[in-house]
Amino acid sequence: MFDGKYAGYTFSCYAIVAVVMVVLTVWIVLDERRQQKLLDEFQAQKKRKAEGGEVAS
Amino acid sequence: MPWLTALTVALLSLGLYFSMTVPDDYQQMGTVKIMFVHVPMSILAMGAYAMIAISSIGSLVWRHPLADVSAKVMVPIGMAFCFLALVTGSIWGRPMWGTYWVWDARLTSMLILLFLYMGLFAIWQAFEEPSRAGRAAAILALVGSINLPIIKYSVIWWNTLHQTASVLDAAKITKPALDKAYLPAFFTMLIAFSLLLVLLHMKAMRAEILRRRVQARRMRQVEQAGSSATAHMVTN
Repeated sequence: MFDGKYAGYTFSCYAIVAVVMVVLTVWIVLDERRQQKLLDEFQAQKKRKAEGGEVAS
Repeated sequence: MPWLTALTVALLSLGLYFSMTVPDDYQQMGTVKIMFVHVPMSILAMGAYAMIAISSIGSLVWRHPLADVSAKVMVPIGMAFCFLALVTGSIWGRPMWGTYWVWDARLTSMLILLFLYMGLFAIWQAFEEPSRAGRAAAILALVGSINLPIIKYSVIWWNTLHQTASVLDAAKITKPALDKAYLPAFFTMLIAFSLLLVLLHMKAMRAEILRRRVQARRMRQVEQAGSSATAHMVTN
């Protein structure tokens, strides 16, 4: 796979690309999940307030 | 999106397999394999910037709300691709040219592209209001887009250490300067990374739309809390 005189250079390139792509992907996926969670909390809060208002009336 | 994710992973795996099994070049030996990551990164760094420029036109001229979102989320993605293009090219340059860096036209113009990305990133972080940030970023993006043809034609207009295009050139598209043994690996990796870029862009756009909805809800909550406090003060 990575052999020969300049194997280190080739391996370094592929390793750096893999690390950066994985970090970028994880960052984007985690960000999306965090925002979805926050939005779900707002929806739940709104639903609780609406139910609280119904009970009071 | 699940099918796009599966296709991207499959093509990346296939591209990696092709990359690892190509024969060594008689001059570059194993380092020729760096081409299969370096060239796609470079092409897509420029492609991502072109996408930002097109989105900026949509934002400034038609004020399309998604144009803003598209431009903003593409910045860190394009910046990552540009950074990787420079780093992999630099590593490739050491055994081939005897140096990690030269101030030739291609390398310098790609470095300027990275600085443009950094500038766009800084603008988006600097303004609290997305609409103001969007306008400033759109103007910078459009002014900076002049760099794209400069990068593309730098190897023709100036004497550069960096080689001219081997495949993606009008004169060479039907008769590539690249040996046909390398074409499957090259095109597979290029398509795989392109799909990855599209996938990341779509995911990031979704996250940004959700973020703006959360911010809108927060602002509405603050306004409601403020108006009920005022009403309470008035009745008292």
